[in-house]
Amino acid sequence: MIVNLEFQTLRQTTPTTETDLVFGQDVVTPEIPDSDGGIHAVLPTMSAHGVLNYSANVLRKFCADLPSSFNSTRHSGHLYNSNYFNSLPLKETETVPWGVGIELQTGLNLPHKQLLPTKGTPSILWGAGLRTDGTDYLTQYVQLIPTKVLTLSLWQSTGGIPSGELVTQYVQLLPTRYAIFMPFGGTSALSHSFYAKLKPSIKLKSGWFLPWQRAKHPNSGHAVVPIVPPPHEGYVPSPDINFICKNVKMSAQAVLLHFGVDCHTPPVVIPARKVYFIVNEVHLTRVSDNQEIQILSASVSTDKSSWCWSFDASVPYSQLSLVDPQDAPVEVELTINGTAFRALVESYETVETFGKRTVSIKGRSITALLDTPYAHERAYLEPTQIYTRQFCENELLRTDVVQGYSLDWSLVDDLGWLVPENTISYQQSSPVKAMKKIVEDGGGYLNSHPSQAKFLVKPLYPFAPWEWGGIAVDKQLPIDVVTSYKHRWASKPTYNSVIVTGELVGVQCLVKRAGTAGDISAPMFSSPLITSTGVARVKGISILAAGGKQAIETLEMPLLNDVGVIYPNELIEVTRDGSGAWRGLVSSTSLNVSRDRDGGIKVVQANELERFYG
Amino acid sequence: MANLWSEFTKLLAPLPQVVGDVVTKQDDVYYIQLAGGGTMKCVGEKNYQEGDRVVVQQGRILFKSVSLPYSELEV
Repeated sequence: MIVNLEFQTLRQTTPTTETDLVFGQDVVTPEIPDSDGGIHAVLPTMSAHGVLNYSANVLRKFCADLPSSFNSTRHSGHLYNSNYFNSLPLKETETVPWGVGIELQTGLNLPHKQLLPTKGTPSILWGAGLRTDGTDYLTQYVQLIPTKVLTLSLWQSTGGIPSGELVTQYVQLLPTRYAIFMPFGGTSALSHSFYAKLKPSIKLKSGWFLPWQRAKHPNSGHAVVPIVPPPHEGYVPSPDINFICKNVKMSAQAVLLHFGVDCHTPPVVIPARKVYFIVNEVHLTRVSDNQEIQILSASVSTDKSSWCWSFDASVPYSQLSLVDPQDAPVEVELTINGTAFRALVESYETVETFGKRTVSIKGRSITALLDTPYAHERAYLEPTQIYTRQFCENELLRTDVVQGYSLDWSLVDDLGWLVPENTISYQQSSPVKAMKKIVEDGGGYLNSHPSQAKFLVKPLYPFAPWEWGGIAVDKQLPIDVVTSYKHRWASKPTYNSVIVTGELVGVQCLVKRAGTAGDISAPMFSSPLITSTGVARVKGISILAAGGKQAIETLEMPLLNDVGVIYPNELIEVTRDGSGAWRGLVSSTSLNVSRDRDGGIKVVQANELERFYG
Repeated sequence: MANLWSEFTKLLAPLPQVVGDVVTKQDDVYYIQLAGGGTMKCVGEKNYQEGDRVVVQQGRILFKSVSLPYSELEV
């Protein structure tokens, strides 16, 4: 028998356990009363064909029902021996009419104790629980703590969005502050300076030297013995060439080629005489209008540790208006026997003694305008590779100082020495202080021209003292011209070597006195400006020359016209009776002008000389 | 006459800077072999290693230096 089963409607559950199965034709069946019977049939294997129609356009909601009201757990291991551990309270509200009870006091036999009323409506299912005893409970699960995922973000976290104020789901993030590294700092405008390798040419002075003037008749009343000129023998070349003299820096237009025995200009030699006639002439004028200023006394002085000349003078009180420096320093010129000294009067004081009022004025060289208080101090770092002479000339061209100053450089080389970039640096320095530091680190000293707007840069010791015996001196003086002579012994430790070194760049040199073992070393000298062997040599000489057995010789003498002013760094030879000569290097110079009771002018030149023994 | 101010400042001048190599160290105390000869003890705030060339002044390491070209000059 084949039975076709057609399932056209969905299955519906019936409240009863009975199912009506109708097989065959639809017949009118009589009403069958309810009964508890059933049908027992043995049916062959059934095959069914079904068609399920449904619409795919119907949106079906995805839903997920949590099958559990507990948090996820993990295996607790064997650390806990408890049936249940502390579980999270279900977030369901339940009204608890009573709060936490208070422990009964010992000794009271009360079955109940008054409970505190619950504050508000707590929404917790369980109150505070007591810690379980590990021996009473066994649980296999412990509470998990949500894992905090580490995130790496380029943006910092921001605060929450203020509720009710913003209508966007995003808030503006603040960018992360990165540390910015800049290899270069702030820069300043370059000073406009130009360096010319070739100087302007100087016209050669062509002239003729005639040993004999044109003859003329003798004046009336005079009888002159005629002098017969010697016959001119002509030029006789000599093959005696002397190369033992050291190289001396000089202008290219003034190079003298000597092929004889002596290759130096002969020194100024003052003969010893019984009487020296001196006529002093001193003038003090104001430079602005060339106004003559009366003078009672005056003095100018300088030394190798000073960068300028000091000026002092005493004038009558009536001359105060001419030199009053209240508005600005007054430039004056003091002329002593034809040698001019220019100075800026910067201060004065009045002195009244027994009804006589005088004014004492003081000042410095005109180069003082490049120092405080006239020039500003600044901090500076030289960013380029530069020669030290060029650096000093740039200091003279600073825009905040008076212009018109020049430099006479004779230290190490015509250009100084080369210094790498970012090496020269100074703090709170005027142009004078900046140059002084550079020059002193290079073994030299800074000084000023006595009358011109010019700085002088010279080595402390043009020649080492142990070489003075073979070098031509600048002036030779007999002890007869010295009116006062003072000898002061000033011995210092003797060294024969010294380490001169740079710091981050440059060279490290052992400067050793020739002919010695170099085993007695002077304290090391370290400076960032020691960048070449040339400057290391000059600095080493200045250190070694300052030590040893030596004396300070002070000479006072009138200002002879043949001698003139003896400036610092001149090598002087003093002779006594034609023998017993000694040599010294001038370290300081001062000229003192005074008046005698009869009004005569007296000029005394005082010099200190460094004299070395061995 | 010499500059009195210059002579006075020489008396108050700090000790000059010197250059040397770190020989040994104990915490912040360093033993320096000076380039000009001699050994001295000084302190340094940074961590310098043995063999480092440093610049020292007043018993304190100022900064680390480098080895410079060496030469001998006779004067």
